[in-house]
Amino acid sequence: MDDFEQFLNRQPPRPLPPEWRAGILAAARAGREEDAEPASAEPAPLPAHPWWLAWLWPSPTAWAAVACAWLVILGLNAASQPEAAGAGSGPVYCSSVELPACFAAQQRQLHLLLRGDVDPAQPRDAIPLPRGNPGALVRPPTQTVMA
Amino acid sequence: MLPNAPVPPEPSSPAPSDDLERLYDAHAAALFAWVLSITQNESDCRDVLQEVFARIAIRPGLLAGVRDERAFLLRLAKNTAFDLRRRRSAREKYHAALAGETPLFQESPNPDEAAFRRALSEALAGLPPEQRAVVHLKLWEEATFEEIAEILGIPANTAASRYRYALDKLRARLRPLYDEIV
Repeated sequence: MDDFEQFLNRQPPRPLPPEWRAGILAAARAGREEDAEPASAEPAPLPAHPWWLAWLWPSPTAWAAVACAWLVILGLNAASQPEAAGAGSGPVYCSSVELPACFAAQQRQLHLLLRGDVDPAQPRDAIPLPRGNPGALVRPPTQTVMA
Repeated sequence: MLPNAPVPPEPSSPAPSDDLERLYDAHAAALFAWVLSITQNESDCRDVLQEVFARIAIRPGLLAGVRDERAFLLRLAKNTAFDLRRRRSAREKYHAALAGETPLFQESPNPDEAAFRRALSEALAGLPPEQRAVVHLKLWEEATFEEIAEILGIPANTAASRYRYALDKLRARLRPLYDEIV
């Protein structure tokens, strides 16, 4: 400790008020006697605060705000869900019973696509043309005649 | 073991009344200064002391097996004071703040010393509570940084750095008065 610290150390803290002794010890003893009393036959009174309130302590307002935020998030989430499932836009899921049939259908479709055939069920107009230079498909590549 | 702490008896069985009185006589003054430094409020300080001794009276085995009674009681008092502060509503805290400075040191008949002690109380009140706690334990309980770390539940290096920061602030603030007195 340097001189300054030693000087601070020599400053005596405030003394404990002597009149507190009797009161504090009496209260402590009273608490012990109360605790040692046998439980009476009467049912214990309901606690002033329910047990779950202890979970929210010490900031019940903050917890309530968090709960409200979650409710709002859940509400928004529910509101943004599509009206009904299976509207046709999403992928088609097969149940385990239909799985072999689904798989076979997918295989067929893949086979048709690879062969370049077109599903007869599909209208011709609906066949998408490749993007880029559509003319290149119609016009065969010109052969250069070497002079 | 803190230097000011009396040698505790062997871990005892349930504290009878005389043991409660012994604990009070041995440690209450130090606990008072410590809690006053934390709470900065005399009324809160009494509530904390009452709760500490009530806990010991209700659970006599609380001190069984405790190596250092003083350190244990300081930690118990600190936790009780923090619990009390949390339980207090914002309005009560506001009123307590309005109540003004609480002198932390004995009054002195010497006007210079009295002025220095007032300034020291104010300077301590201006420190962050965690720095104030370390300063109190170091200067007036003469605890080592390891003991302070144990009482406050922080690493010893943190205790040491908090002490250095706090002491620099106290030095800067109290230097003119200190130079006049010394």
